[in-house]
Amino acid sequence: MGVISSRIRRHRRTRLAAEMACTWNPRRLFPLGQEQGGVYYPDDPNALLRRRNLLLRSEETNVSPWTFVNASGAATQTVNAYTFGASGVDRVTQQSAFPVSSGETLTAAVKLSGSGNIRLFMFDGNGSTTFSLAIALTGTPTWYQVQGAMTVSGTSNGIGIYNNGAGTAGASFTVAATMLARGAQTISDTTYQPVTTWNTEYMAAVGHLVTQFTDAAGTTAVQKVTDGVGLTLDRRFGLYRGPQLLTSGAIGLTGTATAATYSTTTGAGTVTRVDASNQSWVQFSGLTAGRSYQITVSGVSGGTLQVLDGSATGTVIASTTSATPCLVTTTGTTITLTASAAATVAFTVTQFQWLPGNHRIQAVSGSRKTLSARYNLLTSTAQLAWSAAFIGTGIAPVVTNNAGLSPRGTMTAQRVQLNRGAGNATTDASLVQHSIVGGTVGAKYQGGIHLKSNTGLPQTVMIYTNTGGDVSSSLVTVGNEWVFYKNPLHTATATTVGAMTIGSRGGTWASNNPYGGDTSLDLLVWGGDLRFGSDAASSIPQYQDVRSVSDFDTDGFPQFDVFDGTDDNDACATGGGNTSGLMLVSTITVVGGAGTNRVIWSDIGSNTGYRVRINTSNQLEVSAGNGSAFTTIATVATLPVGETHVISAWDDGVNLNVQIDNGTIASTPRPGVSAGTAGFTVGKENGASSGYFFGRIYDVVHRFSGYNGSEHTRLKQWAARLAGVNI
Amino acid sequence: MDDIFRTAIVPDDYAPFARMLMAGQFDLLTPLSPTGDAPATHYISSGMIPERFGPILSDPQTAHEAATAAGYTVTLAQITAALNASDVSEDSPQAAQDRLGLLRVVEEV
Repeated sequence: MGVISSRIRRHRRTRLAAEMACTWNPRRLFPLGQEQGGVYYPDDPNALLRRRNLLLRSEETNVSPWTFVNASGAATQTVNAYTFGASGVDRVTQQSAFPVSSGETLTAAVKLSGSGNIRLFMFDGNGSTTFSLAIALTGTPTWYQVQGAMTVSGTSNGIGIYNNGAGTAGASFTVAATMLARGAQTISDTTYQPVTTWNTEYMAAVGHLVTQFTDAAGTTAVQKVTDGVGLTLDRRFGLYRGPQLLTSGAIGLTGTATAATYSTTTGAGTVTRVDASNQSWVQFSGLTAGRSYQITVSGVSGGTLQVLDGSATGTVIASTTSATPCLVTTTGTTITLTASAAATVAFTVTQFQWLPGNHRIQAVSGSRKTLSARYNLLTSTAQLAWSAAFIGTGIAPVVTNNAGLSPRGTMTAQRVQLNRGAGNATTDASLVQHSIVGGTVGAKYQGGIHLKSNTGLPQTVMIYTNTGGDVSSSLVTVGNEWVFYKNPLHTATATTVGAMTIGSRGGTWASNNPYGGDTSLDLLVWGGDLRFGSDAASSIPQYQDVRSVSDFDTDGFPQFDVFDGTDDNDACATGGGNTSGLMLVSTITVVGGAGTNRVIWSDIGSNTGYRVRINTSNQLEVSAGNGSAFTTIATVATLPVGETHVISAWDDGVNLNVQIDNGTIASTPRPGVSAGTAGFTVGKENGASSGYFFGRIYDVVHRFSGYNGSEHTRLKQWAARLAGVNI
Repeated sequence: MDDIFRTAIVPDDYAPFARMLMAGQFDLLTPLSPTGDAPATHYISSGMIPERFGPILSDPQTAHEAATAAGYTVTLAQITAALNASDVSEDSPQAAQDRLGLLRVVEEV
């Protein structure tokens, strides 16, 4: 019995350890209120709430971008209620807000009630009807929908309602809801996704989980890749919020104005402004200076409501005319709500809570990092822009767009016909090539592409990635199924990188030469990919479809923040100034700036505080100041462009240490550290316009004091997993 | 309304003026020079800014109207001179620097 119990206990311990390993989160490092530091990493906005409705506005059809055309002269529009004339020319339409691909199927749906006959239509490219549905209206609001495959890529596709055709009677109807969605779907009340400003829906649904905002005030959530990030929340307390503080609000008045009203129970209130000297307000007092408070107001009417840090003459943090949240880090102990102009503004405060943490902000728009998950360095990857090369007996290649079904079922595959002619010398070739500029000499790249035989028969194809005469080639046999072929890793020797060459050239193929392939090739080609070699080894999909620099696949690709190496950075007014220790772990990819100092994290002052950076020798370096000088230690290993690594820097109370992944630890005795600044900076030197980091940052976790080796190991593993890399 | 991407490189003489007009959008604090050595001859900023700044950065008249509306006392001639002397593009910061033959001034800290 004792033996069995022992085994059970052992199994339970093993299982518990395994569960903890896969569910471990850095917030475990921060028992509430006991440890200082910060945890920062972006989420995939789609993972929080996916945008399914491609329309910018789905219910208010009288508001832009809806377009109402009264071509008959007899049509009327009153908000969402319409009468159409007896001809077939009146219409109300909206284009897609997001690009779609040629061959992609869309569903257009409307919920209508009324009388008469109309037609729901979906247009494709030029605004003309492509797919339509005749509707005999009834008095009951009903969903109607059409589906079809688009033939034009971009945003010139959309949804519309028009009269059922010349000669039919007029119609009267009301539009309750509209939706344009990808794929063939059945839209109903349960699958319909409303859109007013999208931020409204997004924040209402997942606002409590949002950790990145496009503005420093925290009013607009980061909702997609390529959004700038003005506010990054500290996640070390798991986004815990303090209790509601509605009861801390009270009315006030200066000069002569209608007195404010405020309910500490419901949060409903009014404020009136005549001018700056004559206005009433609602003020929340008894707050803690330096703390961040998340405030949400709804039902704003009569004007614009301002949220001020301090009194009615304080700094305006946010102005709103609708339901919106904002984050105020108080410099004092009060936050005040006023009207922005002469008016009485009514509102309801629905949230007033402390959001603990050291939240990072960037107030300057152009200096904000951007959210990304882009790994494929090519643009418009489904149909690559090929340049032709034919020499000797080679015949000019022929490329035909939209010639076949792609692996994704869209009619976007290219047909590529190549023939090197009768010659079999290395000077006889027929090739298509796609190159990019802006590569980094010395960086490793991997090119790949989808190929399929267009004849149904196997074909031997020579493909390669190159810079100049340096070639990384493969000889592949292409069959009747789509296969993604990858070239060997290629180290660039110039900044123009030949992402992919396909073709046939005389001579005999051998590793790293550009010869070989069948004399004549007839292929279907789709979806090229060129990425850093380090990304090619990551646990991410091997192909990323890039429609444009702002529109690309994100599912399965770890999100990161991009710092441009020019001015991007952010900072926190708190969270710096510790003297007793540091443990910092971050996953980064250097993209440029080799040979310059690039700061990851810093709270240094004048020979005080800590700084973690990549130095001019491209090594990871940590410094700590004692008030007179910095003590510095750097790794021997370097951080080359294009490689993703987990970096660690720590002060364990005895030594300063740095480490890349699980590599050799470089150490030196720590100085008696003098406190740096009260706050800290990420992405550049603290308090200076220098040391800008150029690359990706997947995560930053820093904790002061209490260094623990096993915690550090676990943190590194978590950081690596977050970026899809193995260490 | 979506943000737009711009890179701005402003000569040193105009940098304080440009910082004032572009406050909150571009800080224009990163120094450049033809040799990479101090002193800076230009300053650069790059990133996403609100869409309304597209025409402001490309048309002196629009910029002047916007500056006046924002309460700045500036002349059209001043803004025209500043915009003519500056380089505003959709290039990446590195490409814009390269095109103008400028290098980052790296100050050791």
